[in-house]
Amino acid sequence: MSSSPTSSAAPSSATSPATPAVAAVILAGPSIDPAGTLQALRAQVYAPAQTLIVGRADAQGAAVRSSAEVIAALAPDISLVWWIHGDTRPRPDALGGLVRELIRTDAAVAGSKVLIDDGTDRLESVGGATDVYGDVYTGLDPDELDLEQYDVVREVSYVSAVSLLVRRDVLRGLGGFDRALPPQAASLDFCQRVRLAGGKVVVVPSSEVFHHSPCAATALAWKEQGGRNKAMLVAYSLLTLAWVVPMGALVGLADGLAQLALARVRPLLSTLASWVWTLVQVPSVIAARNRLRRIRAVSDEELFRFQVSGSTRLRRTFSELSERFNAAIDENEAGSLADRAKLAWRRPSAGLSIISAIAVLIGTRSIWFSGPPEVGFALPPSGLSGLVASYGGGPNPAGFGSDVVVPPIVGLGSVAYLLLGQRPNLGSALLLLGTIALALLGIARLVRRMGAGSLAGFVAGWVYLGGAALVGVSSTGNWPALLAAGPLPWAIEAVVAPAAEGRRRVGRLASAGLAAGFAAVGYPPVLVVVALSGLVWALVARRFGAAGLGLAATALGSLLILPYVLGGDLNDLLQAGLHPTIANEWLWLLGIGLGTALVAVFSSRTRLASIWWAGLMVSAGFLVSQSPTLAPGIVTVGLLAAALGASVLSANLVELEMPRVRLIGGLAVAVLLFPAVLTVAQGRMGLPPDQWTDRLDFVRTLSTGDPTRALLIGPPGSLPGAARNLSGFDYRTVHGGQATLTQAYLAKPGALDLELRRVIDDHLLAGVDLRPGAALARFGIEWLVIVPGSEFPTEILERQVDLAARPVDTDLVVYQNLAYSAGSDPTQQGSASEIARSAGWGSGILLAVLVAVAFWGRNRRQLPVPVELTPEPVGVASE
Amino acid sequence: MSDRAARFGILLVVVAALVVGFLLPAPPEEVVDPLTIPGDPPYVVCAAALAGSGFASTVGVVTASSTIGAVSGVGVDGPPEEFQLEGDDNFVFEVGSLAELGVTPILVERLTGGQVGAGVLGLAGTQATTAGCQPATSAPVALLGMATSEGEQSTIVLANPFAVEATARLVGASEFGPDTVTELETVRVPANSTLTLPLSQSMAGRQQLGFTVYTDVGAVVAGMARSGPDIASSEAITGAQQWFVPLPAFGVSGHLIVHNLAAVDANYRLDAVNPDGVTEEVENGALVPDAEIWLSLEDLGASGGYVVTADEPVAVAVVYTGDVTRVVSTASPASTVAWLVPISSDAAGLDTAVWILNPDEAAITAEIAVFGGRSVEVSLPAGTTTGRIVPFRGRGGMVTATGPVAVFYGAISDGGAASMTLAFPLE
Repeated sequence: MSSSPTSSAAPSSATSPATPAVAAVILAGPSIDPAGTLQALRAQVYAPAQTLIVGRADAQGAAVRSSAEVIAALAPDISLVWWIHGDTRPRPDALGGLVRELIRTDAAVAGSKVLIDDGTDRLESVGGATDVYGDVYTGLDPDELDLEQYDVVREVSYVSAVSLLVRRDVLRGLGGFDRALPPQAASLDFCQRVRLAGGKVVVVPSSEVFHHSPCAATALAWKEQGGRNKAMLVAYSLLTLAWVVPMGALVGLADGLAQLALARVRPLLSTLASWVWTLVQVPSVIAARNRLRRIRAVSDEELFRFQVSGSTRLRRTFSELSERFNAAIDENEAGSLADRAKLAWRRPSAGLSIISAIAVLIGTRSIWFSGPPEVGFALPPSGLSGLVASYGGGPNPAGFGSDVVVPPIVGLGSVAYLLLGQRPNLGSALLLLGTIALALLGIARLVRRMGAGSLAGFVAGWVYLGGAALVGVSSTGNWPALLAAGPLPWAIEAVVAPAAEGRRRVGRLASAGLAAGFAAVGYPPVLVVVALSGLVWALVARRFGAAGLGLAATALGSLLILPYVLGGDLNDLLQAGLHPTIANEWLWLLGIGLGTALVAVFSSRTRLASIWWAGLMVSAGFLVSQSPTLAPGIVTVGLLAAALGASVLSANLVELEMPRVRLIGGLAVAVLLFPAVLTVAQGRMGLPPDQWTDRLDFVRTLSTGDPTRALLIGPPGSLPGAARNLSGFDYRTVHGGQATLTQAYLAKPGALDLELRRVIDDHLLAGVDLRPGAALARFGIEWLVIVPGSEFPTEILERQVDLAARPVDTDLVVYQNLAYSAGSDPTQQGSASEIARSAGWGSGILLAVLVAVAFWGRNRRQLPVPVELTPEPVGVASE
Repeated sequence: MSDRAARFGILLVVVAALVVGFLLPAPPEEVVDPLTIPGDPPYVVCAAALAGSGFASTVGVVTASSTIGAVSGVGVDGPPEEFQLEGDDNFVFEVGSLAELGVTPILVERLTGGQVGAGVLGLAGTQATTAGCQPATSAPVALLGMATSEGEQSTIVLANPFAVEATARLVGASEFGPDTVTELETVRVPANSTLTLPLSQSMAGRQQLGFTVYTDVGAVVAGMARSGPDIASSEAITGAQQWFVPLPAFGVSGHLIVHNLAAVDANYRLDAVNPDGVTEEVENGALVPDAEIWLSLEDLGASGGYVVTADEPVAVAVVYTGDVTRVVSTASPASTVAWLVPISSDAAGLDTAVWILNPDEAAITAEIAVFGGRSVEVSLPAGTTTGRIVPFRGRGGMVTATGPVAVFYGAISDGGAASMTLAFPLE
């Protein structure tokens, strides 16, 4: 065990060959006062014969600034140089230990064990290795204490320049340290050159120095990284550099991108800045390589000998991501980073997560191979116009346009589209993948809050995501509602969590509001589920704060979609699309009925609250979904509630304890999971088969001028996005040759819409117009596209003279309007809504505030362990 | 709440919700009235319009109400020629102004206004022929009264004025029974074009030839033209279960044709209409699908006309054979009180005539009005076909009767050649 150095020992002279003369070189600077170091030097048992201060004049007036000046200033009898930082306090035997071991091991450089000088005996460095890209690997965990666990003299890749002893001839031969490099990179560079020159680098743990603050904490990250790049460029042969440099750049880039997932932008910027700095250093690199070539004694293999495989940077980031991932599910804390990383992969959640990931990959395979299906509201996002239409105050470009603000999902789609290089399929696919991940993790957290374990979380996640209720929603092509299903459990989890105090309370509210807001961005009506969940939880768990938190989260969530709240039309949204129904209803009823009976009878009392919550959510959701007259949007909300209830119910089934009952419970779970198996096998996560990908391309290639407007007619539910219904068929217009998400939401009929309806009535249906194209041309309609299967009498179109059939698609009946002339493209949209635009800014600011507050209020170490999160059982409180 | 009550309670709630939800009535399925094509299309097509090679055809359009319309040639580039009629008015259009040679079906559109009737009158020297104009129909139609025996030529015309390609099947019947050559079994008629099918070579040697035209894709308007000792033309005939057949003065000899347009066997009955309105069954029989029978008018022996009834849709036409004339005329599927007469030519040496069949048992009167001219009142004895030469002078007219009648119009040339076509019943 180390302790603070003392100055009681008397110095002794050391000038014989067995006790070579040592010069102490103190690295000081304007902000470093070397007084403490000088005092500690005076207390050294092995006293330096000469003391030099670099960067500051010493008491004798000696002032040196570079390695060359140091070498020049050394007394003739000096054979060893002790390089030591000016903010260190070496133990009295530190130099003696270095000299002794350097001579004994015949090393060229010997480094001390460096501890942080804060009284905690935390280790900063005991030598270290690097990877092939120059990233250091100390083998230490953050805050690792010195328990003498590394106290063995050994050869290492590099030692810290905080305290190292180097032979004078080596220092002179190598030209000393590179002044351009920050401390850690400088020592790495120097040690590598020493080893390439044939010298050994050893660490001497018995030589302890206390360092005021780690160099890495004070140096600029990008400059350290750049310094390591330069060290690599100087040391390696050209052959090695040929693959190390590009791979290193890729590793840096990959790490920077991965760090984005940890909400860190700086690593990516540092990587970029480091390479810019490295490029600037190329002339000095060339000079350094030339110097090194003259004294190089060994090949790159000598460097490889002490290097760790792979990339330490990527491994570190991956470990942190793994830890975060598991923490998101378990919220357990392990000890060290290394321990956490190891433990993460030993937990059941890790294995289940891998299974989930594989299932997600299989379940989304057709999306990766063929792109997301374009069907219903699962439409590719488009550019800035979608963001403007949803958060910029409109107008809505769908149909003939309107002033009504479009739902916020359009804006989210546009953001994804713009961020991902205007690749609509990638944007949709990643949004869907993110939703799936959020849903699985969110449900795992939610059931954890309700006292269930990892396996239950896994099962519940899939019962939620692939169960009959949510599949019923997604099978109608209601992609936005599916996206809302991702963050929804997170909002509910925050709402049903135990009461928190102070900062955490505010943070939780912000988290709940954020999650509710993101869910509302997907499908605004789901906010009802958040409020309902809080209310139900308040009743069944006797935690009345949950009701308030649910309402507050709903309010905050609605503020994140404020433009739509102020300028949108919720009724239109509720009425849009097909009525969803529970898939395999009999099976679902069987699973829910059997499952409820089992958990109601056999579960422990502590689970009754979550069973009640699940039962009430299932019941309410199912009743709503079965109501014959409710709008499709309300039924969708009901099914989402039912899906949540079913997932929590399945978690309770998994947690059943009696073996025989578990067997029957497993059967009920299997019944509830059955649709998920079908969903995964299907490969589209429950979405219907693609209907519209590239189907309207002919509009772009065959139109007389710019891509024009197409009138689509088909069976109810067959058209992309919202549609208007007329006598057994749907119809709508699509502009530009692609049905995009921006065009998905039709507003209430305006004047042109009403006129088009009249024209369809009079000229296509009722009147048998010989020239219906002339009537349609007034609306800028050059194309008439009929999806077979509707009540629309297509034979009417066989008896007209200005809609020419075009065989452009085997499954669509397409007519080109011969009466269309370019330029007739009327719209009825007006100006953007200023109020909604201002509200858009407000929502954006609120989003930033909520994110900041959520992070600020997040203190994971203070989270209670899961057992404390178990809700109070219903029935016990009143007994 | 006790533990047991809590457990029982949630079970009760969920089961009740599941049962109630399951028993809730399913959403009512939207009841959609089947959309049908209205029966008054705003156009007719004159398929058998010929121009050039000695032919001079005119299309006459008549209406009883104010109407704006347009005329254009099928497959002929150029904008349609618009016309405006004020009511009791007509419009005459020279086919030769669109095309100098060949069959040029004419599309007559009604842009606004009421019912219009249109007919085409073709002249070749001293010979005349008339044919009606009609809209497309999805039902099978018949082309009757053709012959390809020595000295006779017949041509089928399939006009597709629409923007969609059509596919048709032709099933022939002749004195030899079912009679269709392979190349006629399926024919394609491109959009906005006309297909003419001369039968003289592919089906030579038939004295009694008729076809059923089925349109599988799109729509066509069919017609036929026959030439030989004289000329004749006819529009296609849509099936009906009752037909009125006149017997004009020149029609005592020839054949009455009954053609089965149903997909099943059709039983028909032929009643002779005699003076005083007495009808008697003179013939009955059964026809397999697409088959036809030619019945000799001389053998049937009626003096006023015939009424054909059938239990399935059949087509009926008459080939009247005089000394120098062969008149092919469709029968009338209806008897009503008002008829438009779209006769369009006032060529020299050509008389225009109207024939009115009164199939009733009571005598009635009819008024024949020439648009822009005088009216003639005609008495129609029961059970007779009454013919009148009426100088329409290319202006068309209208016939109104005090009882239901069947009206036909035509032309009689100085040479004795005649034509006869069903007039347009006004609804």
